[in-house]
Amino acid sequence: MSNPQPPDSESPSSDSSSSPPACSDNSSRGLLCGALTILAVASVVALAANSVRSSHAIDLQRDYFPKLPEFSTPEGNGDSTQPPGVTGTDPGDQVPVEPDDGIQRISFDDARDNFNSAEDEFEATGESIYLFVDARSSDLYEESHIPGALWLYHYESEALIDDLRPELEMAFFVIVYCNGGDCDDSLHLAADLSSLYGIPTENIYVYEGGLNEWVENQMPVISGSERR
Amino acid sequence: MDIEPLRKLDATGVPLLLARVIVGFTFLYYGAEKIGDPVPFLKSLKGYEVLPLHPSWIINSLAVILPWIEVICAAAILSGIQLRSAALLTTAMLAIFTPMVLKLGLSLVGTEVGFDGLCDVVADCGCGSGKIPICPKLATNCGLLLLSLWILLSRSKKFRGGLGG
Repeated sequence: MSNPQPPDSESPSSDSSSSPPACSDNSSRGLLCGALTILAVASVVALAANSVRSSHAIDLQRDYFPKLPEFSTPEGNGDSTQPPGVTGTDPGDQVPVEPDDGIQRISFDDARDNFNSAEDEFEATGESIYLFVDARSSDLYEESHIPGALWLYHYESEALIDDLRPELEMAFFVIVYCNGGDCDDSLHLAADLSSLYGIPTENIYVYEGGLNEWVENQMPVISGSERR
Repeated sequence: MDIEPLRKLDATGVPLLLARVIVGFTFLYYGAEKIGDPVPFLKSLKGYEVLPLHPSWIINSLAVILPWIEVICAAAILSGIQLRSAALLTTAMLAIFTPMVLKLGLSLVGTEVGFDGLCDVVADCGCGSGKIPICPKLATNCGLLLLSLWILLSRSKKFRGGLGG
């Protein structure tokens, strides 16, 4: 096979007597020059491609991992500050200890009760004050989601929010979920719903158990892009 | 330590060729996967907990640019253009990310049922292949690191250009 290297390329680290062409990787200086060139070309191509792509683009300025500002909830406040479905007289039995990030969480029991209420209301009136929101990608949503759940992918929420805003604003209980486990997209979407999109914070809840826990408890799911 | 046998082996060009093919196509595959949907990679970068989340343009830009660096390095390694410079970058990326994958794996030990030891942990390391067992991933990365180093340090005159030559 032919060898495209010049005769002095036996030792790549040795400089030839004549000056090598710019960024020739036969010298350590050329090695770095070549690496910097690759980095520069990659950066330009990456940023250009990101700016023109129609889907899966990353908004460089957007904070995808926001947290709600902390807010205080007076102890013993009325029902309006309780998670939906929590009606017991001893909150210690049902209200889990929440991280102090201002985001309200609900348990599986609450999520199930809200789902049943939502289904009953929907059957009776065609609408419901309970609204489940799926923060996962469209592929995962179409694979399976909680019946009636809106699809609002956290990383594309800016493009999706306008169409969904009326329904989000009408709901009293917006329950956001993702897969559960180490998935925290539901928390970030909940924070964005409040801080970026103006949905009242007190209406937003996160079901941290997510779809995995939902399925483990033999609750219904549907597949496809249709909500129901 | 006598490295003469290694030099003789290197002079055949075969290890260099194999290293270029394996590293090149591996980086091409992983880079293309991330470019297709950079969000999982962005989430993985956050999961490593070594980059600042604010200002957000830092982590966002890395999620956009790093996959393209992988792809362009892959193209350079396969084509032979700026071969050693590309190998320097792949070596650097592997040397940085492999300890981060190890740290991620260790941090997940005991956090879920079944994650009793490092080799029981299954996680998305942002490598472009979704959730995978951590131990084989670490072994793969170490192998790729050695192959990248071989490309970087090889003195073989054969197979330095296009894969045909």
